[in-house]
Amino acid sequence: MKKYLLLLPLILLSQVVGAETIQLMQDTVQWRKSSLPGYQLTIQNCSACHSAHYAEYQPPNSGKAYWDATVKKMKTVFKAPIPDEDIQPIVEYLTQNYGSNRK
Amino acid sequence: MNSENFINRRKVIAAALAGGAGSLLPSWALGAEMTNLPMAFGERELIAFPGKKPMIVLTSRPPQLETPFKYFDNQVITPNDEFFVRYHMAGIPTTINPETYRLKIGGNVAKPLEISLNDLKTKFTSQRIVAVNQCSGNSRGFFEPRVNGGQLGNGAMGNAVWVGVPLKEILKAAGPGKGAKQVSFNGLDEPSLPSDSDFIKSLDIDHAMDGDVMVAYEMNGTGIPFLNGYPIKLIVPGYYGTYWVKHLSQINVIDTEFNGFWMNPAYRIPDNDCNCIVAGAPPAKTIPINQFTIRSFITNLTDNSTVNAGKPNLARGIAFDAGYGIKKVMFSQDNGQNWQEARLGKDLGRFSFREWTIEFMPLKKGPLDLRVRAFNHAGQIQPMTASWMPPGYMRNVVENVKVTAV
Repeated sequence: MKKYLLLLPLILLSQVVGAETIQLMQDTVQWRKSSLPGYQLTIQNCSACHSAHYAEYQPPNSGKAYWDATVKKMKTVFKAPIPDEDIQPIVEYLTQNYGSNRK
Repeated sequence: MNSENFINRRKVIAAALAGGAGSLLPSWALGAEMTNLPMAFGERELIAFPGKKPMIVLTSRPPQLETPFKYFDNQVITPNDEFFVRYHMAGIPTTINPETYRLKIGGNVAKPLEISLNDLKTKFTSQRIVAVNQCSGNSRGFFEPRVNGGQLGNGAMGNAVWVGVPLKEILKAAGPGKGAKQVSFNGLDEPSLPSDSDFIKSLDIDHAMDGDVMVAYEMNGTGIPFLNGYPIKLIVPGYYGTYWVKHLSQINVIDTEFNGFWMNPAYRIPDNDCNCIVAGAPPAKTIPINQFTIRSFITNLTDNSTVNAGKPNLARGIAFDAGYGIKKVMFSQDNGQNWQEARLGKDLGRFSFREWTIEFMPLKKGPLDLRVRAFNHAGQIQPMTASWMPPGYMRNVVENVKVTAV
């Protein structure tokens, strides 16, 4: 029994030495707070796959057409399971808080 | 355009205190420095990700990191811990075991292969290429009118010494079958939800067999950093980074033109001589993005710099192209009216950054508009005015740095 206990750390060590591992970062930029219903829907539907940076830095000429196309791309291309009834509130939230309307 | 304004204020801390939310922030973020890219909404965090110095965070999840431009000064090889990072997929690998790692070659081949890292390093002849990797959307944030996508400054590029196996040798070992048209490349990164949007790229078979395209296992004398594609990465010299597939795991020889999302409609450019359209015009017929345009930068002076009037000053920087070779670099201190030829540094190979230096003497005090313009052996010259395309790729206009002579 004592022998096994001595061996155990060695086995664990060899696994650690064998593989390269990284620890990913937590998000530093959060979704812009809003009283619009799309705020919580955005957190629920978008945060599973990416940080809020993707919206945060879009340029001042980003309007509703851009956000609409982008949310629909997330659903059709990347298969984000966004319920159809959530799409317009999310687009509205993004349009009001990013791009041309960013404070 | 090369000036990033490094700010010492601890914006993250200030924001946390203002909102009373300090305890919600991860401890490593508390010391995050901020910088400003010279564009609207250009404020960015500087954070050290695994294996990296503090880098400009374009997105934290998945990681997209831009090299602060000051790192390009006075070093023609970009160190591994300063090299930019660009992921596409939400599902990125976090643990990779080199003992069990396999590169699989399949599709239309006589002999499908599964190659271990050890076999890759010992059973094939290695080659070494110094080559620039540059993101297709490098400098996208400087497009006017602005375009959507990753809002990068000029730092999504880097130059490294790559060692690996020519793809040609690997493909020859597998034996591409008759009718082979393209080769597709997939890595360990994948969509977090099942979809056909996995990040897969393709090259024409002739390009894949040209001897320059290679599977690298070494970058600047050591292993490839995890976030740059450990343990092996496809190197496509002279071509935009979108083809440089990270964590390369599957190569398929195919009889058709691969048409996945990341080849079509993503990463496409207008199919005309300038690869450009008039802003606002209807989208043009497109082709997959391919070779780098020719570029050059001043690295030792920024928009905030002062230089000495009536005395010699040094300007230096880098130039590169798609591999035709830099022929000359011209320098102007008067907004492009008069030009002097710079001295080129050591030639590290046709795909590498090429250093240049010049001494210049401002005749009087006041503002100076410095420009640098590269010419290559294929007759390509950087344009004086920027062209435009909807996805914001391939910027290569002559950049300017505004300094003051005192």
